[in-house]
Amino acid sequence: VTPLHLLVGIGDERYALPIQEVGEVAPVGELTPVPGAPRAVMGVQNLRGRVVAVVDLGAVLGTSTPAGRRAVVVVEDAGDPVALAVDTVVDVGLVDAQPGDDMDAPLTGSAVVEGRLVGVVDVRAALRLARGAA
Amino acid sequence: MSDARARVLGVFREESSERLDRIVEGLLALERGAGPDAIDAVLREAHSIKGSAGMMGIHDAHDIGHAIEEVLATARADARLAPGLVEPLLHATDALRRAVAGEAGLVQDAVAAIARAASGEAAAEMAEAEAPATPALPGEGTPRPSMRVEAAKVDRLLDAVGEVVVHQRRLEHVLSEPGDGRRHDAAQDVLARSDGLLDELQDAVIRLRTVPISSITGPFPRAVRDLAAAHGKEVRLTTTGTGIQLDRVILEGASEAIVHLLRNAVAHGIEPPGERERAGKPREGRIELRAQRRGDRVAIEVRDDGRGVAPELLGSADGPEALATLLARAGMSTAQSVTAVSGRGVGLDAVKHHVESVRGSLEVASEPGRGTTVSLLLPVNVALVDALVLERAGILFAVPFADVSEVIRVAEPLSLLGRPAVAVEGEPVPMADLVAVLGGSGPPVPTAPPAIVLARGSRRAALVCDRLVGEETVVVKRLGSVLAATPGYIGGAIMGDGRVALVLDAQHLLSAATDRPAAMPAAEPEAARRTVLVVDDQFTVRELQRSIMEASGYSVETARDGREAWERLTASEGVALVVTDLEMPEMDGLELLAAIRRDPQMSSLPVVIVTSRAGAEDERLGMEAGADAYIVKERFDQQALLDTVGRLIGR
Repeated sequence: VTPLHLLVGIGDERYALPIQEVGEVAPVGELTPVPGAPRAVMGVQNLRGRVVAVVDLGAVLGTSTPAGRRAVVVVEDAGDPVALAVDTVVDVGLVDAQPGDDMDAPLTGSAVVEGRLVGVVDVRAALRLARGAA
Repeated sequence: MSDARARVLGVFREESSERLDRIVEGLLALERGAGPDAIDAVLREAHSIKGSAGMMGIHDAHDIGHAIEEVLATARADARLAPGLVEPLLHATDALRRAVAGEAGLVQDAVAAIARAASGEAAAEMAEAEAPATPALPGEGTPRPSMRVEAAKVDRLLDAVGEVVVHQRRLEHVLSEPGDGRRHDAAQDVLARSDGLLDELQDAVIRLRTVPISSITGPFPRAVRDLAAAHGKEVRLTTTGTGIQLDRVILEGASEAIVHLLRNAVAHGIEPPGERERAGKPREGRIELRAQRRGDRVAIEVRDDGRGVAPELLGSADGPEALATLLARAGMSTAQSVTAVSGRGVGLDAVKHHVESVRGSLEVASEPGRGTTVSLLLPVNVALVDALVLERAGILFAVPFADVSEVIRVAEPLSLLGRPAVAVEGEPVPMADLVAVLGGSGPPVPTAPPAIVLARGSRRAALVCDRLVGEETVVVKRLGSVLAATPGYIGGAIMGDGRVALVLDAQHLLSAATDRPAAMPAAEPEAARRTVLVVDDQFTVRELQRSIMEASGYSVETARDGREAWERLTASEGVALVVTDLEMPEMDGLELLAAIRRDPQMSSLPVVIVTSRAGAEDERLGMEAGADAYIVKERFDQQALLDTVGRLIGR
């Protein structure tokens, strides 16, 4: 497993997403809310001609209000693109993740990057949570 | 295997598959007495397969093809094919199909069987002299040149064209702003011209995805013949209108459904020959597979001239779509005890579900004793939808035009059974806030808001919104896995200004807006669901009552007579109310009622009698025996039953 990760900011927190999960990064577009959708789904947006569901990664990880989401990280879920909304995309870097146990958030572990604690996101688990949390 | 060989082999197999269908079609025509033209046609196809198989080095296919050809060459010389040869030739055709697919070791058996049959017939031939009938083989034109394209490539092309259309719309939007002089005008001019071309391009690509219905019907005549033989019936299948084209994806999905309907028609619709004769019908039953355009949909109908749906079921369904629903439900709940009635419904639930998943619908019409017609109403293509665009709570929604019966302005809201409604052409139609039906919320709607009236079959509902935006042809795209379980949408569409509109699923909205439980804000907890025990010796009555009460949120159990009901009641607790018929075998309704009233544990259990005995004396007897309510079947209406049950067990 490559330790290369995409570092993102949500509120005051930093998270890392394994780079092989990341399809592309784009700004949050104009959102169409979807009545009846799971709670973590902010809506759908037009991403270069595709209709893509936007999931608030902050809501899935249990942090902060969705007010600051300005960027989306596009990942693939069962063949469909899904946009994970974050506040900022900070950097791409090597992250030496320490596997954690007993974590209730969808994280595979944590790491220290430039003196800050970073949670490493388990993208599959995050998507499962996004689908389930009504 | 080299790529080139694999490609050629693929083409050979596809071509042969069509030829094999034509051979079977020809043999069946010959069995019905078709003339020498049919012999020629079958001979030609067998010869072609033999030739190609030889070139490809598929020896088994070559040899079987050769054997078939030999028999037909003899038949051509005699200008007739002995009837006893059809069966072995059909078997040989099956073997040929398997050989074409790559199976080996079939030659000896197939060839020997044909040879045996041919020599037997030759002997019988001597004694027999029969004038051949001469209807021609059903129409078989010369095929136009065609090209085989992988379906996924066409899909990718359609996606790309869809994107270009979106960009075109955006450009139109930009240029619709007032601009500066000649260059602006010139740009608009160019745009207008490319617009027409783009429409044409999009149409062409969408047509690429369509295929004629006949591309799937090849195996049907044979299947029906074999099935009829297995059921000891005589059935003839005719097909009309199968030249009509449908989206490949829709048609492929429908294939299984059609086979199912044909199977049901043979097994449960067409009567055995003796029964038909007694009813004054020809021994041979007829099944017609007919396709025709109906508005912007294509109706694929399977029509039989069999016994029809039981009258008591017919009477309880209001229109063809309701009958389909009722039969589907009946078939599902009695898979273990198939009767003539439930048989028509077996698997119909799956058919209905499939058809609805592609935005189609299912209808059943029937005349007792005369036959049944089951219709699959399918959209011509999946991707492109003519839609009405509207706005509610700041969200754009698109509704397929096919589902909208009218657009109204709600000046005077009414109340129907305590729920909001609006008069449409003088009739009250349930009304709801669009965003609330979808499970969301929004600011109050303006006064006298616009509403769209959705209609499917006899079901109607008015959905209120803030504003009508206009009409647009939209390309429907998937919302993706995260939203797959969110009901109410068939997809999303990108509008001219780049925003996404949610494309609504009318089927779901109609259920949600018209069914009481679905219209409630939150689902009731499971524990609060009350169980009703329905006791009736007639299957249709039980199922009808079950469907009515389940639709209102009750959990329903059934029993066929008083004894079965009593066994259920004494086995465990949990039944909150009993609905029973009076006249039943084993233990009748009054005996059941008496037993309940005698039992200290159950004496206060509410019991509703539903019966066809309308006399005042019977009603008095029933009430004296301790019934809580008495409903006469002739006066029977759903609401009366629901109101009574609701009153007795407090809902």
